[in-house]
Amino acid sequence: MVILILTGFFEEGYLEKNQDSLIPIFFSGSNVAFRRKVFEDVGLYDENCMIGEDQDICTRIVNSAWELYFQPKAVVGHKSRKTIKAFLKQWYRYGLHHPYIFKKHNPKSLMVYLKKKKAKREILYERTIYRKPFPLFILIFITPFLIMNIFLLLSILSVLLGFNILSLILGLITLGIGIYYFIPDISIKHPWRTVKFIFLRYLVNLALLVGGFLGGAKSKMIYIGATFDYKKRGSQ
Amino acid sequence: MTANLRNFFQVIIVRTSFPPLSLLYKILYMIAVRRAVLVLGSVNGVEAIYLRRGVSRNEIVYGLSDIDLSVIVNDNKKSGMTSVKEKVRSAYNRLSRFIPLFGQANREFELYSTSEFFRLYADYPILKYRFNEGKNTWRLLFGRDIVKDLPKLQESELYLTATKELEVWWSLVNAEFSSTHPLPQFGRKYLWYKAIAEASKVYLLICYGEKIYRREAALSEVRKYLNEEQNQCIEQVRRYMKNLTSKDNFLVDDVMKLFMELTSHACSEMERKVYGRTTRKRAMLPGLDCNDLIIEKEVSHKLEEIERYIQRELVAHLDYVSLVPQIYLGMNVLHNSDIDSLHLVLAQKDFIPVKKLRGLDSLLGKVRSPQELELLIKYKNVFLSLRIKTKFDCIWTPGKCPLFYSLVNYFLLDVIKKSERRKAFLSILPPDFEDCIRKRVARINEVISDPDVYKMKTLSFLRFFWGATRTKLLNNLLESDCIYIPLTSRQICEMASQRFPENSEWLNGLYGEYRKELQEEESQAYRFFTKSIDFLKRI
Amino acid sequence: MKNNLSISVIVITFNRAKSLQKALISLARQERQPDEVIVVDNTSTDNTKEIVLSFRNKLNIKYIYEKRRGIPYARNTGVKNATKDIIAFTDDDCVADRNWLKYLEIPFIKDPHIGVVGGEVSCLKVGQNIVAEFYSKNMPAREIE
Repeated sequence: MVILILTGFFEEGYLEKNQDSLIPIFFSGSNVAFRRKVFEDVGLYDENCMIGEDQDICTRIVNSAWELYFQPKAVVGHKSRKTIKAFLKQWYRYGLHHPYIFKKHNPKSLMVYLKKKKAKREILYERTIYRKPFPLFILIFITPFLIMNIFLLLSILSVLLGFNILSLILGLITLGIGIYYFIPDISIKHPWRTVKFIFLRYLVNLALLVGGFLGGAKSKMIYIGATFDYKKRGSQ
Repeated sequence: MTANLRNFFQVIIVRTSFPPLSLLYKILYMIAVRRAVLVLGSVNGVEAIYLRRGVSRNEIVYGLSDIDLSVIVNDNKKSGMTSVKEKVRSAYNRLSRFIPLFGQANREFELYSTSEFFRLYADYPILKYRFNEGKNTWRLLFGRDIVKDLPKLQESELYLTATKELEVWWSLVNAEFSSTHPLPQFGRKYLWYKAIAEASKVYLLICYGEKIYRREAALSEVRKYLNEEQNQCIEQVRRYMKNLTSKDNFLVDDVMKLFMELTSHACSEMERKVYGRTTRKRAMLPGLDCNDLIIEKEVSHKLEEIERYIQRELVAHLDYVSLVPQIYLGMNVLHNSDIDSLHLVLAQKDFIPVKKLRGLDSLLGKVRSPQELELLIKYKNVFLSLRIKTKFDCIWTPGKCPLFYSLVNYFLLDVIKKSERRKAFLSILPPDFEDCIRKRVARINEVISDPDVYKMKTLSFLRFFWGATRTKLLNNLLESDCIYIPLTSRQICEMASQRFPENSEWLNGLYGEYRKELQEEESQAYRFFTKSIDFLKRI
Repeated sequence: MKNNLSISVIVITFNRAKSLQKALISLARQERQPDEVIVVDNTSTDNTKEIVLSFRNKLNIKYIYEKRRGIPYARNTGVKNATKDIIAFTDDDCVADRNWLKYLEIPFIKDPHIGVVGGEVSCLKVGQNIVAEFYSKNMPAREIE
């Protein structure tokens, strides 16, 4: 699940409650306010939800009659983690706990999602490739990052098995996808920073993915999660 | 398809519209219609599909005519599942995306539930006229014939609603006053052919009781009643139709003048026949001073420019110029925009060439303002709107809109600038006044019961509030013979405070915040939403 | 016309006394003052309690110790102890802009059907470390008053 923190990318206004969408929009717990009656209606925070409790409660509110409103003029400044290690750990833990929320609010089914290139306001993942009831809970987001890593793994595997030409081809594909994926990080003026950013982004997404997978396993589901991507400011 | 490409294909098809190719085109249209019936008819819940307008009357211009459909569906609203309406709409969207012959999905495709269909017929005169006409001109393609169940129209109703049809065509030919006409040459010619033909139909109906449904027949018939100059114009229009794609000089002044003549006659005759003997209630209208009408900086700036332009270009053609507060009491304008807005009226002495009026359009086009400044020209006994913003209330005539007429005669341009306050004066009310007020009240009550009313933008809401308050206040006064009608938001606020003194304090507070919003200052108007809505529910 | 809504601000904290202090200062400087501030201490071992108590004369502040470790426990404890109409949350590593509550409150007053209002989370550039830079590429960096 992607962390779609509503931070200045959208205009002021009511959030559209698209109840067909798998990913609910939510407000980060560092800048949110509730009417007291809302807690009486939808209940308090879920105490099983160590991380992502704000996503859980917003999902419940979306499913209720209450409206959600984004007010960009109400600003809170947030300090990011100091060290890279702490940063990665934070995102690993996000990944770990998201499957629980998914499972809680959705029926058992097999779902495969593809990322839309131009996302509409709150709905980033709209193209469902496949969605059907299933005895086991399986949720897969097909993202460029995932595909890149699959090709990377295959390429490494073919090297180990001795298929050099195949591994070269796979390697090139990996590189191609990689370039496409990391383009927003590339800044010719600051080459060293580019390298650092690419490195960081790769690790963050890996942490998120691995955390997601392990968290899913813990919740008895197969979960291959979405990635932490750049969103252009003010894009619709 | 880009506009240019589309025009290119249209020209080719129009030029080659002779046998055997025309037969091919006809077949293509038939196939498209059949396909539509198949696709739309297969949706569960569709009650009827009708073919409307040109194609159903066999007046097809291949390449230019659209296939216009009306679909009527069952009322069932299943919550959580896609409603029938949504399914039909998305089916039509898919259809029209691949087949360019269909009318635009958001404008020309009509989709109603059964109850909506009957209700719109009752509430909106233009639809009353068109649906009624449909009894004779629409072709039922699928399902049961619902149109025949519509209540029969009285003759006076028929004449009244027919003038609404004129407004539709006026709003289309209005594009001539825009400095950049949206249509290519052949499009304009076709539009004028249709406009003159449809205006002739209405003219023949109202003035001579003749019901003619086909355009060519109407053009032939109307010649009997027109003078030499006008007949030449009819012939001109027919020539345009025969040579749509040729690049000859297009003389817009002649057709514009003919259209306005037909409109003027039809409206006068309608008033004589419909309102001739009705007794009317009277209205007491307050005088204004320049503090009442909050003329925003933008509007004020526009007015100065316009004054200069009028002096330069138009004053020789004009009898007088008047600035009038807007007051719409019909069903079309419910949600806002008319409160504290203005009409600028130019009374023509003789016909003003279209070119000169285009200059005014470009002046107004530059500046944006929430407060509207509508332009009207007076031709003989009708007022016609230029740059139409509100839907279809764009032809005003003495019998139909005496309120408006008295305002025009009363408020001349320089009155607003003078600081002295004018006294109140009497006017006669429009004949359908009471009916309009009652219908508006019903609609307002629906709007305020819907939680979405809170989602309105602040200024829109405030304008809606003043308008709704006025309507509701008037609703309580319908019994009296002489009704006081406030014109501006300040006067509405005053009247409401007098009738409901316990609310006087917050109403005045709200008025203050409204003024701030108009000047684009930060206001606390949001604090008044709940109170305002509760107030509207109570009065 | 005076507003009729009152606001409780809840801050959950764990061993971040210094940042918490900054957060509380930003609350004290709000143009629209909170009617109540509740700090839920989730088993801190530093001088969090002292810091909180030091704000007694500037804010209507309550200190609650929550012994069950975990954010949802702490949030719920905060909610149960809040007494006002609107319950706002912010974190112990955040700094609220001066007009935060002023703008946060407006939608609640305007539309009674609004249950939640969320604001913009901006990035504070604390030291030019790589993480902050990376984050600020994704989130808007704003001057916080």
